[in-house]
Amino acid sequence: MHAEAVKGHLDSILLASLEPQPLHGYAIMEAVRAGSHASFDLPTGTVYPALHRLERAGLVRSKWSTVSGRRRRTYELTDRGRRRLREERQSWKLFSRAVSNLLSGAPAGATP
Amino acid sequence: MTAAARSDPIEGLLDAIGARLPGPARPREEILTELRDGLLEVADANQRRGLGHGEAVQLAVRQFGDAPTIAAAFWPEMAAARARRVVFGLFVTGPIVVALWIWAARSRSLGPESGVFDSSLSHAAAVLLIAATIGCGIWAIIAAGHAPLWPHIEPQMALLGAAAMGGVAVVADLAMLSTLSAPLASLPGPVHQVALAAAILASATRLILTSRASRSCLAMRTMT
Repeated sequence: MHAEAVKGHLDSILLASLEPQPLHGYAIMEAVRAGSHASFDLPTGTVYPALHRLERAGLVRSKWSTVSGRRRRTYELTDRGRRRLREERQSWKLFSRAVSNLLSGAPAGATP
Repeated sequence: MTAAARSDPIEGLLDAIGARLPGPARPREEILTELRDGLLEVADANQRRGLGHGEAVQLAVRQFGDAPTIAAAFWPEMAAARARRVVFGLFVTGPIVVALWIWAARSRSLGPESGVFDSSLSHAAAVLLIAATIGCGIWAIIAAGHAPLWPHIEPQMALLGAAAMGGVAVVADLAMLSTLSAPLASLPGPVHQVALAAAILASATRLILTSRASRSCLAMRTMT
Protein backbone atom coordinates (compact mmCIF):
# COMPACT_ATOMS: atom_id res chain seq x y z
CA MET A 1 0.00 0.00 0.00
CA HIS A 2 1.27 3.47 -0.88
CA ALA A 3 2.80 5.45 2.01
CA GLU A 4 0.56 8.45 1.22
CA ALA A 5 -2.54 6.36 1.94
CA VAL A 6 -1.24 5.56 5.42
CA LYS A 7 -0.12 9.10 6.25
CA GLY A 8 -3.43 10.32 7.64
CA HIS A 9 -3.62 7.33 9.98
CA LEU A 10 0.04 7.17 10.95
CA ASP A 11 -0.47 8.47 14.50
CA SER A 12 -3.17 5.88 15.27
CA ILE A 13 -1.08 3.11 13.72
CA LEU A 14 1.94 4.06 15.83
CA LEU A 15 -0.14 4.29 19.01
CA ALA A 16 -1.64 0.86 18.30
CA SER A 17 1.79 -0.68 17.68
CA LEU A 18 2.96 0.59 21.08
CA GLU A 19 -0.08 -0.72 22.95
CA PRO A 20 1.28 -4.17 23.86
CA GLN A 21 4.76 -3.05 24.95
CA PRO A 22 7.40 -0.28 24.72
CA LEU A 23 9.34 -0.42 21.43
CA HIS A 24 12.15 1.44 19.67
CA GLY A 25 11.79 2.99 16.21
CA TYR A 26 12.81 0.03 14.08
CA ALA A 27 10.81 -2.44 16.21
CA ILE A 28 7.76 -0.21 15.72
CA MET A 29 8.29 -0.39 11.95
CA GLU A 30 8.51 -4.16 12.15
CA ALA A 31 5.38 -4.34 14.30
CA VAL A 32 3.50 -2.19 11.76
CA ARG A 33 4.76 -4.32 8.87
CA ALA A 34 3.86 -7.58 10.64
CA GLY A 35 0.51 -6.29 11.92
CA SER A 36 -0.50 -5.15 8.44
CA HIS A 37 0.71 -8.40 6.81
CA ALA A 38 3.37 -6.36 5.00
CA SER A 39 0.73 -4.05 3.46
CA PHE A 40 2.24 -1.00 5.15
CA ASP A 41 5.90 -0.54 4.32
CA LEU A 42 6.66 3.08 5.20
CA PRO A 43 10.00 4.78 4.52
CA THR A 44 11.75 4.11 7.86
CA GLY A 45 12.75 7.75 8.33
CA THR A 46 9.14 8.97 8.47
CA VAL A 47 8.41 7.10 11.69
CA TYR A 48 10.87 8.97 13.89
CA PRO A 49 9.53 12.51 13.39
CA ALA A 50 6.02 11.14 13.95
CA LEU A 51 7.10 9.58 17.26
CA HIS A 52 8.63 12.90 18.34
CA ARG A 53 5.38 14.66 17.46
CA LEU A 54 3.41 12.15 19.56
CA GLU A 55 5.79 12.71 22.44
CA ARG A 56 5.36 16.48 22.21
CA ALA A 57 1.60 15.92 22.34
CA GLY A 58 2.03 13.86 25.51
CA LEU A 59 0.71 10.66 23.89
CA VAL A 60 3.98 8.70 24.24
CA ARG A 61 7.06 9.04 26.41
CA SER A 62 10.58 7.92 25.61
CA LYS A 63 13.65 6.78 27.48
CA TRP A 64 17.21 6.07 26.43
CA SER A 65 19.10 2.82 26.99
CA THR A 66 22.27 1.23 25.66
CA VAL A 67 21.90 -2.01 23.70
CA SER A 68 24.99 -3.77 22.30
CA GLY A 69 26.96 -0.55 22.70
CA ARG A 70 24.39 1.50 20.77
CA ARG A 71 22.25 4.20 22.37
CA ARG A 72 18.61 3.43 21.76
CA ARG A 73 15.41 5.44 22.35
CA THR A 74 12.40 3.39 23.38
CA TYR A 75 8.82 4.69 23.34
CA GLU A 76 5.81 3.74 25.43
CA LEU A 77 2.21 4.89 25.59
CA THR A 78 1.16 7.37 28.25
CA ASP A 79 -2.29 7.22 29.87
CA ARG A 80 -3.31 10.03 27.57
CA GLY A 81 -2.02 8.01 24.62
CA ARG A 82 -4.09 4.98 25.64
CA ARG A 83 -7.20 7.16 25.92
CA ARG A 84 -6.53 8.64 22.48
CA LEU A 85 -6.08 5.15 21.02
CA ARG A 86 -9.47 4.07 22.41
CA GLU A 87 -11.10 7.14 20.85
CA GLU A 88 -9.36 6.56 17.51
CA ARG A 89 -10.51 2.91 17.50
CA GLN A 90 -14.10 3.93 18.12
CA SER A 91 -14.02 6.59 15.44
CA TRP A 92 -12.36 4.19 12.96
CA LYS A 93 -15.08 1.57 13.53
CA LEU A 94 -17.80 4.10 12.69
CA PHE A 95 -15.89 5.39 9.68
CA SER A 96 -15.02 1.98 8.24
CA ARG A 97 -18.57 0.71 8.70
CA ALA A 98 -19.91 3.74 6.85
CA VAL A 99 -17.41 3.38 3.99
CA SER A 100 -18.03 -0.38 3.77
CA ASN A 101 -21.76 0.28 3.46
CA LEU A 102 -21.19 2.82 0.73
CA LEU A 103 -18.71 0.73 -1.23
CA SER A 104 -20.69 -2.50 -0.94
CA GLY A 105 -23.19 -1.23 -3.47
CA ALA A 106 -26.12 -1.99 -1.17
CA PRO A 107 -29.09 0.33 -1.79
CA ALA A 108 -29.39 3.31 0.58
CA GLY A 109 -31.49 2.51 3.63
CA ALA A 110 -30.96 -1.25 3.32
CA THR A 111 -29.73 -2.94 6.45
CA PRO A 112 -26.54 -4.99 6.01
CA MET B 1 31.45 16.19 4.82
CA THR B 2 33.48 14.19 7.35
CA ALA B 3 35.84 11.34 6.42
CA ALA B 4 33.40 8.88 8.03
CA ALA B 5 30.57 10.29 5.95
CA ARG B 6 32.58 9.91 2.74
CA SER B 7 33.22 6.22 3.36
CA ASP B 8 29.97 5.25 5.11
CA PRO B 9 26.61 5.93 3.44
CA ILE B 10 24.85 5.93 6.84
CA GLU B 11 27.10 8.67 8.20
CA GLY B 12 26.71 10.50 4.89
CA LEU B 13 22.93 10.53 5.25
CA LEU B 14 23.16 11.56 8.92
CA ASP B 15 25.55 14.39 8.00
CA ALA B 16 23.11 15.58 5.35
CA ILE B 17 20.20 15.49 7.82
CA GLY B 18 22.22 17.15 10.60
CA ALA B 19 23.24 19.99 8.28
CA ARG B 20 19.54 20.72 7.71
CA LEU B 21 18.56 20.72 11.40
CA PRO B 22 18.83 24.25 12.80
CA GLY B 23 18.77 24.81 16.55
CA PRO B 24 20.53 23.65 19.71
CA ALA B 25 23.22 20.95 19.40
CA ARG B 26 21.91 18.54 22.03
CA PRO B 27 18.50 17.75 20.54
CA ARG B 28 20.13 17.55 17.10
CA GLU B 29 22.65 15.00 18.41
CA GLU B 30 19.88 13.00 20.08
CA ILE B 31 17.90 12.90 16.84
CA LEU B 32 20.97 11.79 14.87
CA THR B 33 21.83 9.14 17.49
CA GLU B 34 18.31 7.75 17.27
CA LEU B 35 18.34 7.78 13.47
CA ARG B 36 21.78 6.09 13.43
CA ASP B 37 20.43 3.28 15.61
CA GLY B 38 17.45 2.92 13.28
CA LEU B 39 19.61 2.85 10.15
CA LEU B 40 21.97 0.26 11.64
CA GLU B 41 18.97 -1.88 12.65
CA VAL B 42 17.63 -1.75 9.08
CA ALA B 43 21.10 -2.61 7.71
CA ASP B 44 21.39 -5.54 10.17
CA ALA B 45 17.96 -6.78 9.09
CA ASN B 46 19.00 -6.54 5.43
CA GLN B 47 22.12 -8.59 6.21
CA ARG B 48 20.01 -11.23 7.98
CA ARG B 49 18.03 -11.51 4.74
CA GLY B 50 21.25 -12.51 2.98
CA LEU B 51 22.68 -9.26 1.62
CA GLY B 52 26.37 -8.40 1.92
CA HIS B 53 27.36 -5.61 4.32
CA GLY B 54 27.83 -2.91 1.68
CA GLU B 55 24.62 -3.74 -0.13
CA ALA B 56 22.69 -3.97 3.15
CA VAL B 57 23.86 -0.51 4.20
CA GLN B 58 23.10 1.03 0.79
CA LEU B 59 19.61 -0.46 0.86
CA ALA B 60 19.04 0.75 4.44
CA VAL B 61 19.86 4.30 3.35
CA ARG B 62 17.48 4.05 0.39
CA GLN B 63 14.71 2.59 2.58
CA PHE B 64 15.13 5.39 5.12
CA GLY B 65 14.05 8.28 2.89
CA ASP B 66 15.78 11.43 1.66
CA ALA B 67 17.60 13.86 3.95
CA PRO B 68 15.59 17.04 3.15
CA THR B 69 12.26 15.31 3.81
CA ILE B 70 13.39 13.75 7.08
CA ALA B 71 15.04 16.98 8.31
CA ALA B 72 11.94 19.01 7.44
CA ALA B 73 9.80 16.59 9.45
CA PHE B 74 11.97 17.26 12.50
CA TRP B 75 11.61 21.05 12.17
CA PRO B 76 8.87 21.32 14.87
CA GLU B 77 11.11 19.43 17.30
CA MET B 78 14.06 21.72 16.64
CA ALA B 79 11.88 24.85 16.75
CA ALA B 80 10.48 23.84 20.13
CA ALA B 81 14.00 23.09 21.42
CA ARG B 82 15.28 26.49 20.25
CA ALA B 83 12.35 28.30 21.88
CA ARG B 84 12.78 26.41 25.16
CA ARG B 85 16.53 27.15 25.17
CA VAL B 86 15.98 30.90 24.69
CA VAL B 87 13.24 31.08 27.32
CA PHE B 88 15.29 29.09 29.82
CA GLY B 89 18.31 31.34 29.25
CA LEU B 90 16.27 34.48 29.79
CA PHE B 91 14.53 33.14 32.90
CA VAL B 92 17.90 32.20 34.42
CA THR B 93 19.82 35.36 33.49
CA GLY B 94 17.01 37.83 34.27
CA PRO B 95 17.19 37.56 38.07
CA ILE B 96 21.02 37.51 37.93
CA VAL B 97 21.16 40.77 35.99
CA VAL B 98 18.58 42.42 38.29
CA ALA B 99 20.49 41.18 41.36
CA LEU B 100 23.72 42.70 40.01
CA TRP B 101 22.02 46.08 39.51
CA ILE B 102 20.59 45.93 43.03
CA TRP B 103 24.07 45.09 44.34
CA ALA B 104 25.52 48.04 42.39
CA ALA B 105 22.80 50.38 43.70
CA ARG B 106 23.30 49.29 47.31
CA SER B 107 27.05 49.58 47.01
CA ARG B 108 26.57 53.26 46.07
CA SER B 109 24.02 53.82 48.90
CA LEU B 110 21.46 54.53 46.21
CA GLY B 111 18.30 54.64 48.29
CA PRO B 112 14.92 56.27 47.67
CA GLU B 113 16.40 59.65 48.65
CA SER B 114 18.54 59.62 45.51
CA GLY B 115 15.46 60.00 43.36
CA VAL B 116 16.49 57.27 40.91
CA PHE B 117 14.04 54.72 42.27
CA ASP B 118 11.49 57.25 43.45
CA SER B 119 9.41 57.49 40.34
CA SER B 120 6.09 55.66 40.27
CA LEU B 121 6.44 55.69 36.48
CA SER B 122 9.71 53.73 36.64
CA HIS B 123 8.12 51.29 39.10
CA ALA B 124 5.17 50.76 36.76
CA ALA B 125 7.50 50.33 33.78
CA ALA B 126 9.58 47.76 35.67
CA VAL B 127 6.50 45.78 36.71
CA LEU B 128 5.17 45.92 33.14
CA LEU B 129 8.48 44.70 31.70
CA ILE B 130 8.76 41.84 34.19
CA ALA B 131 5.13 40.80 33.58
CA ALA B 132 5.60 40.96 29.80
CA THR B 133 8.81 38.91 29.99
CA ILE B 134 7.22 36.22 32.14
CA GLY B 135 4.04 36.20 30.01
CA CYS B 136 5.94 35.76 26.74
CA GLY B 137 8.08 33.06 28.34
CA ILE B 138 5.08 31.08 29.59
CA TRP B 139 3.41 31.37 26.19
CA ALA B 140 6.59 30.12 24.48
CA ILE B 141 6.92 27.16 26.85
CA ILE B 142 3.28 26.17 26.32
CA ALA B 143 3.67 26.42 22.56
CA ALA B 144 6.97 24.52 22.65
CA GLY B 145 5.12 21.37 23.64
CA HIS B 146 5.13 18.92 26.51
CA ALA B 147 1.90 20.74 27.28
CA PRO B 148 -0.89 18.36 26.39
CA LEU B 149 -3.56 20.94 27.23
CA TRP B 150 -2.78 22.88 24.06
CA PRO B 151 -1.28 20.40 21.58
CA HIS B 152 -2.75 22.29 18.62
CA ILE B 153 -0.45 25.28 19.13
CA GLU B 154 2.26 25.17 16.49
CA PRO B 155 5.98 25.50 17.31
CA GLN B 156 6.02 28.66 15.16
CA MET B 157 4.16 30.28 18.05
CA ALA B 158 6.83 29.06 20.47
CA LEU B 159 9.49 30.75 18.38
CA LEU B 160 7.39 33.91 18.23
CA GLY B 161 6.89 33.83 22.01
CA ALA B 162 10.62 33.32 22.61
CA ALA B 163 11.50 36.13 20.20
CA ALA B 164 8.98 38.44 21.90
CA MET B 165 10.39 37.54 25.31
CA GLY B 166 13.86 38.35 23.99
CA GLY B 167 12.60 41.66 22.64
CA VAL B 168 11.13 42.63 26.02
CA ALA B 169 14.36 41.56 27.75
CA VAL B 170 16.35 43.77 25.36
CA VAL B 171 14.10 46.74 26.25
CA ALA B 172 14.53 45.93 29.97
CA ASP B 173 18.32 45.75 29.68
CA LEU B 174 18.47 48.97 27.67
CA ALA B 175 16.26 50.65 30.28
CA MET B 176 18.49 49.52 33.15
CA LEU B 177 21.64 50.56 31.32
CA SER B 178 20.32 53.97 30.36
CA THR B 179 18.57 54.90 33.61
CA LEU B 180 20.90 53.39 36.20
CA SER B 181 24.47 53.43 34.94
CA ALA B 182 24.85 57.25 34.76
CA PRO B 183 23.37 58.02 38.23
CA LEU B 184 25.36 55.19 39.80
CA ALA B 185 28.60 56.39 38.23
CA SER B 186 28.06 60.04 39.18
CA LEU B 187 26.69 59.80 42.72
CA PRO B 188 29.01 60.59 45.61
CA GLY B 189 29.78 57.84 48.05
CA PRO B 190 31.96 54.79 48.36
CA VAL B 191 33.11 53.66 44.97
CA HIS B 192 32.29 50.06 44.16
CA GLN B 193 33.47 49.93 40.60
CA VAL B 194 33.35 46.15 40.55
CA ALA B 195 29.62 46.04 41.31
CA LEU B 196 28.78 48.67 38.71
CA ALA B 197 31.08 47.13 36.08
CA ALA B 198 29.58 43.67 36.70
CA ALA B 199 26.04 45.02 36.31
CA ILE B 200 26.87 46.90 33.10
CA LEU B 201 28.80 43.94 31.69
CA ALA B 202 25.99 41.51 32.51
CA SER B 203 23.32 43.73 30.96
CA ALA B 204 25.40 44.46 27.86
CA THR B 205 26.29 40.79 27.34
CA ARG B 206 22.70 39.71 27.76
CA LEU B 207 21.61 42.48 25.42
CA ILE B 208 23.86 41.19 22.64
CA LEU B 209 23.08 37.49 23.17
CA THR B 210 19.35 38.11 23.49
CA SER B 211 19.22 40.19 20.31
CA ARG B 212 21.02 37.40 18.46
CA ALA B 213 18.75 34.70 19.93
CA SER B 214 15.58 36.64 19.10
CA ARG B 215 16.72 37.18 15.51
CA SER B 216 17.56 33.48 15.15
CA CYS B 217 14.07 32.53 16.46
CA LEU B 218 12.44 34.83 13.93
CA ALA B 219 14.70 33.54 11.15
CA MET B 220 13.88 29.93 12.05
CA ARG B 221 10.14 30.63 11.68
CA THR B 222 10.69 31.19 7.96
CA MET B 223 12.45 27.83 7.49
CA THR B 224 9.27 25.72 7.44
